[in-house]
Amino acid sequence: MLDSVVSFVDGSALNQWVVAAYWLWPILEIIHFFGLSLLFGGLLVIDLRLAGHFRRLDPVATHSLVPAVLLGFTMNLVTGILFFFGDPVTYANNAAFLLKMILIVFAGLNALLYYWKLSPQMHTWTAQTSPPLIAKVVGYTSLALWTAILLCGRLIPYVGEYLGTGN
Amino acid sequence: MNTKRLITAASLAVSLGVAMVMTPVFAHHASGPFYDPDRRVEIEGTVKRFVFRNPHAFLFVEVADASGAITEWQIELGAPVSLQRTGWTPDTLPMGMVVKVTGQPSRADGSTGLCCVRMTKQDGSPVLSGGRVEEAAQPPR
Repeated sequence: MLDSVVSFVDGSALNQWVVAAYWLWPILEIIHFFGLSLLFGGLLVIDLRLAGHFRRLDPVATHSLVPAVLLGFTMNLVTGILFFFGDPVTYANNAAFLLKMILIVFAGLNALLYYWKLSPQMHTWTAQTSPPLIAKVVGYTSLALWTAILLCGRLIPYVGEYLGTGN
Repeated sequence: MNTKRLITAASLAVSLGVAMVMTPVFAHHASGPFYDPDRRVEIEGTVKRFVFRNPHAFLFVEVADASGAITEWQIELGAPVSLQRTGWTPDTLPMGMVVKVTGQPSRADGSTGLCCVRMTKQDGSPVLSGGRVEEAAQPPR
């Protein structure tokens, strides 16, 4: 399946553009870092409150950071897709990239658990409420997954070899 | 108590950051895992392909040995934006041009890759006219 994605991407007009617009790559990296900051920064507050830290914070107020997290994720999804279009063969054969994609799927499932199970009941929590076990699990799992995703992303250039010399 | 912890964590993060920046192999990506900084290889060959592209430019050079057998070397250069800033263009190294390249060989067995190179024309003059053969005038790596 990945092979067909690569053959679709490789040589496409978008591929040609990302490869040839020299200024684009550093700009994408800058946006990707800002997206990461929004995503991880928002999640740090949401997840730690979810796990029972910072109890003076109103949990519903931390939930209002979700749009910032989603904006960060969208920025990184778009820039990430453009990175992939710029160097499909390298990414498709890179262990850190593939692990990163798998971990993002798990982080998404974990976020759905938060969305369906936890956020509806959070308005009943007070500073005295000890969050249920599932809240702690979801909160810490989220932080652990996103830390691992960040590390995988940073390690992409260091593992495997650079294969993108096709053009 | 919490403030103390915060200060400890912050100073740890800062010193880690400083340590990373001060490690000389960290240019953009470390080349150390892939190329051996303790060895230098010198080649002279004919430009086959100059791939001026994101995220890194590559130069392919054919090198003939004494018996006439030809080996292709892959030379990893910097990001095209960095190359462009120092005056390099996709036409700087046309096909058929003979270049002399010194650089660090790739570590993988049987591979013929170079990075972090110094490059001149066949006669030893700078590749870019008006440039000088010194570190600053070399292609960014």
